[in-house]
Amino acid sequence: MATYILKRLIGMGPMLIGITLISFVVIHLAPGEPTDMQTQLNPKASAEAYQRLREHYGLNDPIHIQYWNWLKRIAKLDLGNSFRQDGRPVIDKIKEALPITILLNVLSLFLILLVSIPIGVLAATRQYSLFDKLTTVVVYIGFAVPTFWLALLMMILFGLELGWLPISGLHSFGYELFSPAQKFSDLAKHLALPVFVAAFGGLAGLSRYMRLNLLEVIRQDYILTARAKGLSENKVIYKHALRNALLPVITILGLSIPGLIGGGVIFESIFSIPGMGRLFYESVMARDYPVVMGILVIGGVLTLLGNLIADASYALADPRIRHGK
Amino acid sequence: MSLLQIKNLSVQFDTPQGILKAVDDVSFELDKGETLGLVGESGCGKTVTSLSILRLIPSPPGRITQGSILFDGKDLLKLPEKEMRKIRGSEIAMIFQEPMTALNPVFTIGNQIMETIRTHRKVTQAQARDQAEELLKVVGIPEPKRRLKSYPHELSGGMRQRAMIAIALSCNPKILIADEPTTALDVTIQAQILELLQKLQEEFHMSILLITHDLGIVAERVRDVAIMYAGKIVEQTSTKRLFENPLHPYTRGLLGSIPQFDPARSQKRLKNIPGVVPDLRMPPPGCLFSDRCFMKVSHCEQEIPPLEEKEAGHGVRCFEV
Amino acid sequence: MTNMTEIGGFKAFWRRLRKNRLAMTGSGIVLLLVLAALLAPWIAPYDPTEIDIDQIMMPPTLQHPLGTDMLGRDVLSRMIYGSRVSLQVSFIAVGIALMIGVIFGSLAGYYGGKTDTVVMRFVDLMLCFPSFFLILSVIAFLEPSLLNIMIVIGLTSWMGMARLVRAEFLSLKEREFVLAAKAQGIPDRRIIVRHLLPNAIAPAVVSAILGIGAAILTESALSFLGLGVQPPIPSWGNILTAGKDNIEIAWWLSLFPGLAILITILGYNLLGEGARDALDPRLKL
Repeated sequence: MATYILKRLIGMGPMLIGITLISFVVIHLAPGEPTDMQTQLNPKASAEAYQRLREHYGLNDPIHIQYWNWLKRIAKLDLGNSFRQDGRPVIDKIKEALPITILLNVLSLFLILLVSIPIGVLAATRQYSLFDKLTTVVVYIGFAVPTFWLALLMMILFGLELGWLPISGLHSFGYELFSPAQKFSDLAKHLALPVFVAAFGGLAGLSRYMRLNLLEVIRQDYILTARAKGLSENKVIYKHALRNALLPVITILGLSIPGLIGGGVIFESIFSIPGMGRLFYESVMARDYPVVMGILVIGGVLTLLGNLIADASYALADPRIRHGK
Repeated sequence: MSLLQIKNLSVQFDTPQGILKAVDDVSFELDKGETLGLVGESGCGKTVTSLSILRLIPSPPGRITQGSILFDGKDLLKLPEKEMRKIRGSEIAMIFQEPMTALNPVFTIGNQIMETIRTHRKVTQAQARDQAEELLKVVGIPEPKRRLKSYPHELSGGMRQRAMIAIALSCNPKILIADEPTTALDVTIQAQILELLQKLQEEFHMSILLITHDLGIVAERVRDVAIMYAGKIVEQTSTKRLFENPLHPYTRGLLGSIPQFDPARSQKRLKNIPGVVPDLRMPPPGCLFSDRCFMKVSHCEQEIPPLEEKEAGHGVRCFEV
Repeated sequence: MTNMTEIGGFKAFWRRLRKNRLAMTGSGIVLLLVLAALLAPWIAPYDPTEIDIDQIMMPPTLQHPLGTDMLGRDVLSRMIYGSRVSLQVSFIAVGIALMIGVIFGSLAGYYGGKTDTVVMRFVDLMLCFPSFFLILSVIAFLEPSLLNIMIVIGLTSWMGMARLVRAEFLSLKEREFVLAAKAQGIPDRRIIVRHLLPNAIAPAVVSAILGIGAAILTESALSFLGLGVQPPIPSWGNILTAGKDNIEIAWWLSLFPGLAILITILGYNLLGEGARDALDPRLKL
């Protein structure tokens, strides 16, 4: 097991280089220069100031030197400073935004698992029943719903019409003065809609996946064996079948990480939640190159790590792999 | 007195192309401590028959449409599901063709044996473990204590089938249904497993229903035999008589295609009877074997021959015998 | 494997697809959308860019069945014209993705070895990025034009198709007809294009149909964020942006374009999944 993880970690090396390379290329392919924003917006910027800026950012160096220098800096976790007014280190901005995004994603993953596994199991064990048909319809719609539209509808319904939930930000005004219990319920209320919206697509996907997977597992010989042993149907399904059907879900969760992070751009912007998605969107709109590149790199690395964790958990959960390597 | 008595069993499957009669009017008896061989090509309905005994036909699409299965005088088809569960694994146990896939990959061998014991017997975890270890010893698995903690993928095919047998034996069943227990195994291992089954049959006083496509296996070990073709029993008698005087053209085809001293290869040779099994969703009106039969007369294609005793204790389903 | 010869050719595929009611519903939706886009100038009741100060923010009425926006423009007409954007972007973007996917997939599958390793590593790498991040950064730094959007969506959505084509090639290239072609000295390029590709492309095309829905979703999300099609050209996404900006007063601006996106994607998904099932009947549960 340890050697397996070590092997995977070593294998991640070239991928990391690849991630930085793509992030760098994507930004530098675009016409215009990082300094445009600062000079063009400021008509008083002289040619001399412009040159100074170019010097400062190393833009006069050949492109591969720029990449190499940048790489050396990110190796030290120095992602540069933001181009925006505050000029703060990129890494600090990411450090503020990342926990919020992780919190949101963990909560929505939790919600996805909590809801879609039972739905998938019920639909599979009652194949062709009304419940099964109904969930299939809901799943099809779930796949097709644009998240941002769902977010708008939720805001209209729960925020404006019913007035049950706040529709923006993470905290109410005066949050600092609340008691811990109030703080918790305030945060929970603010998170309810974003978490639901973030989870929605995944809910549909995983329910369907669970259903198909369980149907597949139920056809296996060992399920017949379990029945021939005289086990109750509950034991057959929830012990023998479910355990096998859940294994691939681990991989699915790992694969869904980039989608979750990417999806954050939209609903974090809509709900004004200061996470990675919104930070990315704002930085893109402000052409804040260092932040954009930083988030691209961190996003890629997180995905790699997520896949590694998923693969390692899979290996732990599946005896065939645990003992094989 | 027979322990298991199957009378006029018919099983149908609903398919998109129509109803498929997988088992049609099958009757046989299994005596206490005896072995009955149920022989036929794959798809002839022998596995469906055996699953019917345990009432494990997937439904839908499967359906037992008629007949009775008397076990110890009780009709299994009329038992409530809860009573039936008490019989599965405890009174009647089953082993399958593919030991690779018949064991759950994510649980240890020990866990899977103990599970059966604890489902049917009121014993503690520790007692169950002791029994499981004893069972592994009985089926000839070396280092039983260590093997309890092994996962199926860590065992060879033969060892897995032994573990499977240990699970089946765990509650000392009266009947063991062995569905092609050696087909997936190497030739040398096949003989070992069959010997093991024979030895265990005496030790545990079990009856065995041995399902196979291989007449060679039946010849040496089985007292009575029933040959199935396309869902129907076509010939039914003692093994001795079957080999001395096979009557049904299908059986004769099977026997003619058995190469001597090489049971392993008979599998391929079985198909040497010309033609194919008819589509059971749209069966032709007459004898289902008529299409491939060298004794066919015009009558055969219009009417289904009944299963008749042509001599005492020798039933054959053919007009021309 | 799902190559055409083994599933009984295109005719059998079509017969199975025809029987699938959901897939036929899906193709009906798609057909309707294509018609709306083609016939927009004739069926739209108003000019989609015509500003009418007297009719600002009108809720749905007989005159304006889906209401009007903050400039008094007819929402129904804007949505009919918006379908042109969705259709154009999604078809071309997916076309680009299919092309890249087929080229990379067939090279990797046919040559194997180092080529395969390099290509598949690149695929893994591309899958590491949240694709929306990549799209957003490129679009923002380029000009957000229709052409750029199509190219960028195409460039970030070919990976699945490459994998599918590669898998088909891996299984097909060992077949006798390929070996025979090689033995006759037919050049690789011809073997790939004439012998392998027609047999290997079906799964990728099915995945492309499903990809169209995803591309429509991406385009509308970009428009929604103000990085897509620029006003006054109407697109479903930028009508939704107007809906968001006026969320307190004009629910119809949010409801209808979203519904249109939903139904369209539903249509493509139904058609795509029907095609996948018809391609490989054994997979169907």
